[in-house]
Amino acid sequence: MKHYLCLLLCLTLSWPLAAAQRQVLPNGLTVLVESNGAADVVSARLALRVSSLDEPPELAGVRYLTQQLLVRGSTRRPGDTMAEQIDDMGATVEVGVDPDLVYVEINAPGDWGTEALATLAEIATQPAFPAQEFEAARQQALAQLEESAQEPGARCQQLFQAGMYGSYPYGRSLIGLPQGLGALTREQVMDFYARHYLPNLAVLAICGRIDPAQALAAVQQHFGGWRPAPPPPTVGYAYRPLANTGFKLEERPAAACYLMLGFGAPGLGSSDYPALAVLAGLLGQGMGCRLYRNVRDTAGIAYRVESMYGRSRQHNYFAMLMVTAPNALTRAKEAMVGEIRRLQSQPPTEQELGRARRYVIGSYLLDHARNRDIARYLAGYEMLGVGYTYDEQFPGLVEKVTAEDLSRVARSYFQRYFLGIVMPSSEGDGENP
Amino acid sequence: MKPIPGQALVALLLAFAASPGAAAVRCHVLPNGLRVVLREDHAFPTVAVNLVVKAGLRSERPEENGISHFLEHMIFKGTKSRGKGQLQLEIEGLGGTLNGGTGRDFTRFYASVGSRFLPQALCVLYDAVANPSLERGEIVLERLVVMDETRARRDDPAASLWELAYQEAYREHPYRRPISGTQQTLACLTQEALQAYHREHYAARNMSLVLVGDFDTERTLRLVGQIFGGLAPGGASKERVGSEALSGIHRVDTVGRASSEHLLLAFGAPGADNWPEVAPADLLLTILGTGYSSRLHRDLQTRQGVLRSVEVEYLTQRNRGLFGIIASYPPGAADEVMALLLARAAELREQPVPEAELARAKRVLAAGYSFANESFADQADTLGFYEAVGDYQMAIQYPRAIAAATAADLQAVARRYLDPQHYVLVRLHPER
Repeated sequence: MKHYLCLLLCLTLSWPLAAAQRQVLPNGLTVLVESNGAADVVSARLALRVSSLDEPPELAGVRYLTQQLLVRGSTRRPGDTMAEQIDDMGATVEVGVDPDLVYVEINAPGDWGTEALATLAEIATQPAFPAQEFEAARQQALAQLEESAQEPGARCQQLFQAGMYGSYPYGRSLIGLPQGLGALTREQVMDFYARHYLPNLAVLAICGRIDPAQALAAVQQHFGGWRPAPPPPTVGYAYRPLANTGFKLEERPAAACYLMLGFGAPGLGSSDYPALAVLAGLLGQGMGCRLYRNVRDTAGIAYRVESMYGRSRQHNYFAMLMVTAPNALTRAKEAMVGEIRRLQSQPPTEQELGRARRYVIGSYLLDHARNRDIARYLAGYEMLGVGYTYDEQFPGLVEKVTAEDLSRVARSYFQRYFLGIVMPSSEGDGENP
Repeated sequence: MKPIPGQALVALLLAFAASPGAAAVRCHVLPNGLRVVLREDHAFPTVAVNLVVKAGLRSERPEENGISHFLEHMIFKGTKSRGKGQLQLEIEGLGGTLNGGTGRDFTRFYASVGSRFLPQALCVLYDAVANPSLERGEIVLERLVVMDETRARRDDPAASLWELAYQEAYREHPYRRPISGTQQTLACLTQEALQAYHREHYAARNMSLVLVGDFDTERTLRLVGQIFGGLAPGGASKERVGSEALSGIHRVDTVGRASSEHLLLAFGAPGADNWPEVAPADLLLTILGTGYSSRLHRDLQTRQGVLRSVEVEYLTQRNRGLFGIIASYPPGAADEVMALLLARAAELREQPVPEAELARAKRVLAAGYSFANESFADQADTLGFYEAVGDYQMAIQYPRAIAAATAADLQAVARRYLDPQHYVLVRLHPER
């Protein structure tokens, strides 16, 4: 029973989600199963502790390329046949890369739940890295990297992250670096896979219309033979917090002006994490937040205003994003800095704090409406070291955040900021933030 | 079909009876003409509400282009009894979410809340759409925000390509105009024009209220009657425009923000006013470009020198819309890409789709539909969408329509729409 939901909503209804069951296989694979009969869907997410810190600079992009190649064929069959079988089940597969982990996700109709787990095992544990697919996957990755560098919003985030983290891997695009991707060989990718894709570094979360015992039996059958090994040594990057406030402005073909301003912030698991999550809700989430009311509604400066607070294990960031007209750049930047100063100097009213807390909890609950979302939360929390039960604890922690907590975290973390700006090239004259 | 967020999924099943014991969809019409569509389901302790107003691009006169979208923005600026920002604060203060959106056929306002807060959410939603204050000063401010929104959309290559394609594809039909209007029409939107448009379109007979989730149907119907019963009925909704066929070949070149050359090849496509053609058209789209084993996905894997990316899209609208393929490619490959895409269209016209491929496409499409309707908010969105373009029953019939489609149905639709003599080609060249 998810008690926090009952607490929050004062329900007397029976809740269909059983608490997740956790089991560790002899090879070290952690398995979480949550039975949820609400929809005829089974979602499974395999997360692996293969972090951007595992990529040396000369191999930057190896995680992304490895992930892309997982779905291009296994040692059992070519990619075409695998694709047909996935479509035959009516399933979808997604591979992805986060700063702290990589994942493979499959979603399938309930009737195909165990077959979907077999397919997931085949994709993640038996990839063939076909030689004829390697170059095509590399070219696609390079094209995607170029495309994301051209997209003004994504480019603004890149400028911010590069300024915030310098040469630390969190400062790079998740796709990698052009020189890394350009130089990688198939052998390097296969070697990286062999050293990092280990059951003892993996969490498999399964959620949906499936019997837990049946799911566990299928996992043992299909993942049981995956061989563990000692985790490889880490690269040993040194993290240096932002030493001074700074900005980087880039002019490029664009119609709007993009700003991202942020601070270093504590990671998931910190006792200040819930307070900063509430602060993000108060400042820039929903239509009742400060940025929306003050910047968009009252000043009419920007259409898109939001704040974001990541879920990294450590060296996190807290940021605000705005999309505005080029001639409103200075006012937009001043509005962001002004809101931060206000948070530091005066606590929010009880009403405002109440809205922020309830908004954060409510949207968190609504973000658990699909099986794939639940699987993502469970696998992520377990992988990042706070344990899957954090999913149930988080709303209660948010409930306890006080106005004093908000002022305190605003003062202690919001000191030096970095601001990334993408400005349309033809209209960039005369303004300097 | 309606847009599905991300990649689609899951098996042939009835998406709207997904949870065991969940009730069927019911529709009740209030005395003032408001249609109330409900699906009771206690699987999750929340309710999704979606209020759909049949006021979109299609209901606009040329000189008031953008007014539906602008009014949607203004609805959130307060009512006669709730000050600016209060609507949002009330819903978000309950732990709920509130938002709106405007399309070519309709405007919608949607909220999700914990079940016990449904009465408050309905009161707020009613007040927002029935009594907007539409103050002059706020109109001036919001115009700046809408202009920012329009500006940011120009930075999205796909959005720019589609806007140009719609502009070229129609001679008269309102779909040819941009949803958010132009600088000129926005400048002319006055308080009086907004009030008149609101009076004409925000009337009970022109709206549907959809509720999905954890509530008691009978009690909720009484509640809805008490709250929304006061809404003016308005005149019967007028069908101002009918479908317009795409005629001839139209080529447009544009320069925009992109890293590589892009093109959009758009053919005509059936609207909900020609419902029997919709599922076959969606299956053609699936065979062409959805799913891992689709024809264009295979081309993407094997024709790396020619194709960098390819996406297909067809949104069912009230009237005829567009069936589009967006591709990106290296410099100089445009002719080869066009030849490939036209050859793929010709195959679908000339040869029936093999049974095995059709069966697979049906599973991919039906599963995708079911997966896109996993949450209450998804279901309320889908039911409201079909209310706006036709009838909520379409949402329920859709999986059966997919199952019933034959290779001959697909070929007939391909012959009618994927016509090499009638299409729009928009090419986007990167700005340097």
